[in-house]
Amino acid sequence: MAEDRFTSRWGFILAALGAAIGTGNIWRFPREAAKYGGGAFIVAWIIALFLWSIPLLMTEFAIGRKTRKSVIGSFAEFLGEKYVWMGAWIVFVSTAINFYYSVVMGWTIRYFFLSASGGLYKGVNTSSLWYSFISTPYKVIAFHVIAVLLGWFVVRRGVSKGIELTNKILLPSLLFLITVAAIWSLTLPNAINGLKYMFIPRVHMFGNAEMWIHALAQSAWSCSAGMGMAITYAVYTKKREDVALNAFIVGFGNNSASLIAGVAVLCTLFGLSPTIADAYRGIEAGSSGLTFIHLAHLFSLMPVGALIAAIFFLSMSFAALTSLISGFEIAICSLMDAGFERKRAANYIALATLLFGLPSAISISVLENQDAVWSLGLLPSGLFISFIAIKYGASKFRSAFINTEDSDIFVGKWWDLIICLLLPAEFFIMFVWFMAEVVKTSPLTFATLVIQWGTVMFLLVRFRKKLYSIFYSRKEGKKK
Amino acid sequence: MKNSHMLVVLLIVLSVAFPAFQGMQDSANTAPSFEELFSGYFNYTSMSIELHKIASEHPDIVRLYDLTKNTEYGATWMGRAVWAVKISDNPDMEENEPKILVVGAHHAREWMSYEVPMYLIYYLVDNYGKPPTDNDNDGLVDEDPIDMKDNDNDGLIDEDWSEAQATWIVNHREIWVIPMLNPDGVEYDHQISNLGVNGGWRKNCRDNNKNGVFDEQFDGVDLNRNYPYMWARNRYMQVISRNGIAITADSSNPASDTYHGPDDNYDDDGDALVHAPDWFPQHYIYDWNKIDEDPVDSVDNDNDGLVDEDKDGGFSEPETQAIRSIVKTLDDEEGTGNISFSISLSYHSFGELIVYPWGYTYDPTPDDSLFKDLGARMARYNGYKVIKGSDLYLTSGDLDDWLYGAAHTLPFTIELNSQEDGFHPMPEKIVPTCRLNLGVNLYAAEYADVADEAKSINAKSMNIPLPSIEYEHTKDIALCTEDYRVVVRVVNESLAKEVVLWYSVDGWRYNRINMSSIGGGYYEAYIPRQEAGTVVRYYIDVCDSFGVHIYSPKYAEAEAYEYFVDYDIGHGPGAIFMMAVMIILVCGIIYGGLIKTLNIAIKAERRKIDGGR
Ligand SMILES: [Zn+2]
Repeated sequence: MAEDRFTSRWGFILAALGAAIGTGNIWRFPREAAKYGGGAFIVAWIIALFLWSIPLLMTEFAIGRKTRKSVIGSFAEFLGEKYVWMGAWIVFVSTAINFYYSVVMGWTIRYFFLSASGGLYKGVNTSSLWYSFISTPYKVIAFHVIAVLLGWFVVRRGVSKGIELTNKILLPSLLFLITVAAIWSLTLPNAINGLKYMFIPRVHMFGNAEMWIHALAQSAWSCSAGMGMAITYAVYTKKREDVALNAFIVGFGNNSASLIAGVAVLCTLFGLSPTIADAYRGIEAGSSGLTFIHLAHLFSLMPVGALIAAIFFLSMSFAALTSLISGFEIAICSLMDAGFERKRAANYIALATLLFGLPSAISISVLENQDAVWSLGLLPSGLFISFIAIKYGASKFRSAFINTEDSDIFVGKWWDLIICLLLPAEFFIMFVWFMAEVVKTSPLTFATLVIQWGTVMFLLVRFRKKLYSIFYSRKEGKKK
Repeated sequence: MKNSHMLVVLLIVLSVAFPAFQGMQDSANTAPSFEELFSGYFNYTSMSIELHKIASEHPDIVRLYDLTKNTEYGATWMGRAVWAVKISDNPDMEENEPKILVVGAHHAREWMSYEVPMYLIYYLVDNYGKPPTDNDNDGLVDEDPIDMKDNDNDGLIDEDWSEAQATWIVNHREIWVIPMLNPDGVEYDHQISNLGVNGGWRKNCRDNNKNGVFDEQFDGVDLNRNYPYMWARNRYMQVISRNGIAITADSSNPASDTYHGPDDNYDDDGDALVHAPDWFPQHYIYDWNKIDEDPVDSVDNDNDGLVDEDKDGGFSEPETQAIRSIVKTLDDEEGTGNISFSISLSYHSFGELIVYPWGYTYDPTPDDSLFKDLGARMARYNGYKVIKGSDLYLTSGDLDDWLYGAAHTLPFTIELNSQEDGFHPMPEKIVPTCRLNLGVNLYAAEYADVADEAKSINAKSMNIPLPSIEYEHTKDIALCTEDYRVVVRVVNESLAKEVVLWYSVDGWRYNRINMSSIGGGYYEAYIPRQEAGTVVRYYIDVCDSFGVHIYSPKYAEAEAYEYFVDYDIGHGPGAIFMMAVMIILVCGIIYGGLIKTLNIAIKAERRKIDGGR
């Protein structure tokens, strides 16, 4: 069988961008920016791009290109049997996130159909519409199933014919659609307020620790850095692919999309809300509240709103799908390392997502719990990846795997500093901060987090030998 | 798997999902959810359960009392409770707020008369504290309030009511509702009567002949003849009722449907000369013996300087005593309560009438024209005919005469439904009738203070001079560095005793600022600067010397004006400039970076392809 790879550098970049650009760019970034100081937040967010996301992406690209193995295999190769559980943790976390992410994607599909079929007509009570939808399990499950099937349909076709092709179609469409929505939003009478809230720096926020933490977290979560996605996709690149420049392109590209989405969301919100205070309530309503209640309501007020709403939710569905398939691929790549054939691996992972997504589809509180527990799981994931480079020796790692002769740009010593000092420090601060947040807001969530994390970590560490033999040495043995 | 198989799977899934698509256009029902409870009649048991549920679910605004606990019997004759619901903020306190009494089911068979008060209870607790809501999902908020008019000409009536009004009424009034005054009779009538059929039981279940069992032929007291004011004055008077049947207006015959209850035979003021044994025909020795020598009629019948101190009858029943136990009368008789009601509404059926005192005499009350005007204003909601009780037919000893004569409340009796509907209208009639009369209740509650003032100055109508406020809230953003200036114009300034601005930063506790006059009827005040991100709510409160409050907005804190406290950088040309600079900077870094890196990559790729060649 011929090796299934990205046909070109651009295909790879588009796929990585598709993975990075998800619903978080559209419903989380604008909200966080407006809430935490507008321009001040954006400055911090750009700093975080350079000090967290891009260096981590580089590390991941380098690892995947070097080992040409799945996340688990890569950890086995770099760190040996002792630390193979770290790779398994990363795969587990991204898979667990996928379980509920497909439910979220189902929501966006439902809202696309809803707005396309005229369901967001003037006068509709979007709040009761939303709550009646999420409290009707069979509807949520139906759209969850659709989302999983769409993802399954893509990943089972492989990298070049599935993932690459899908991203080549969907990512440009997504950028086009969200740009249309952004341009429309700029024509609204009070759109300027949206721009003000997005860009004018509330200078005093620079002294606010919470703002920095949230900017860092937004950048970390948004670029999919630390998810294992970049390792996985890099496996399918040419042997002589560049690493450093690609990481920059994906980082810049992801943030470009965020900025456009920020304009679209905030200018719609501030442009159509009767008062600033009303717009602010949308900001405070959380991601789904902002999108499915407040924005849906505002769309419903305008004659062309239904069209824009359809465009908006379609672009969200696209963003969600391209991220969902990257999550699938992380697991599939590992399963393939364990000897499974792609289609079979795709079937298994789709079925698992279908089943384990059901609790989140049935109960929004399960989904919220899973989100709280596993999105925080990304923090250790990021640390584990930097741990590979640290253990290997950052400087050595950089010269061996990043600044190769295929590299289009040279990465300087600053990278070592970030990987060895800044990333662990950032991780530590964010980790403590968010744990304290969880304990403060919901001790119950914290308890379930400790139990779920503890169980998974215990099992992975306990069975690291098995993991090692299934996902790594088995294949090695075959080759030998 | 082949692609064709996949297509089949997709089709199956889509067909499963189809119901989900179909159900997508589910819009919310415009009827409030509690209306389901009004698809059939309550009985005493279901009503009691519901009232307990309401009281436990809304402990902040509802108190439930069994008023028979305050009577000499401790329960009704059959051992039931007369429930009274008090709805107000701070329900455990008796606040200086106008008080309204709503009573249903004096008469057992008049089923609708307890549904309407129940509906009022639900309406108030259900809407209390809700933000102004677009109940009919048409994008407009509260555009069609409860007034039985189609305010927005959309063919629907009262489909988008004002939550703020409900909240305001609960906050600024004390509403007492006794939905079922006569539970024994109602339960009995439910046993013997059917829907849509007339007839039925009217009285309570007193065992008049003391034979130990309840029998229709001899037992029961007409509760609405059992109040002491002018008690039994018109006994044996034959009147022609509105459905053309000759009835006795008020009867001393226990077998009669209008039996007013036993004579008092009790020396209420303790001045009797002789204490005759029970078997003695006391009636003949009353006057000289000073028993029942000063009946309740606002006259000092025995010229002893005390008025109405020894009643001759009335309040013999636990149900009427239940009412007595909360009402404060002018001379604080024994057994009365401490609540001075401004307006009372006593529901009966049928006749589509709004009835005001007197019932015992053809003479008009001193407030006759005020009654007419107030009645006409309430009739705007239900379209009923306004009539003086005695013009309908003479009675005596009814609730309204007592409340007006002894407590100076402005009482109304409302006869629900038409003769065709009868005493037991079909269940489909319940919700429409309740809604038809909801506005009457709300109007009475809302304008109770104006009615009080009109009564106190002997005005001929509700149209009395009051101050009013002219104010337009235009500025919904303030900067965190500036105080917020509010300037209002008070019309009829001379009538205003106080002009106050109330503001809140948490939407709950309000701070008071006295507004200062700046001439020409204008008043101003500054709300102190607040932290950025705060939402400040405020309203203006003008009070006249009687104590009638006028607010802007109309329902004060329930729909207060609000503004958002913004960061100081947010506005003006400097801010726009700052915004432009930031946009250029941010987009420069991100898009510049993207273009720059893409350029390098494009060149590199070209080089590699060239190299490959
Ligand atoms: Zn009656």
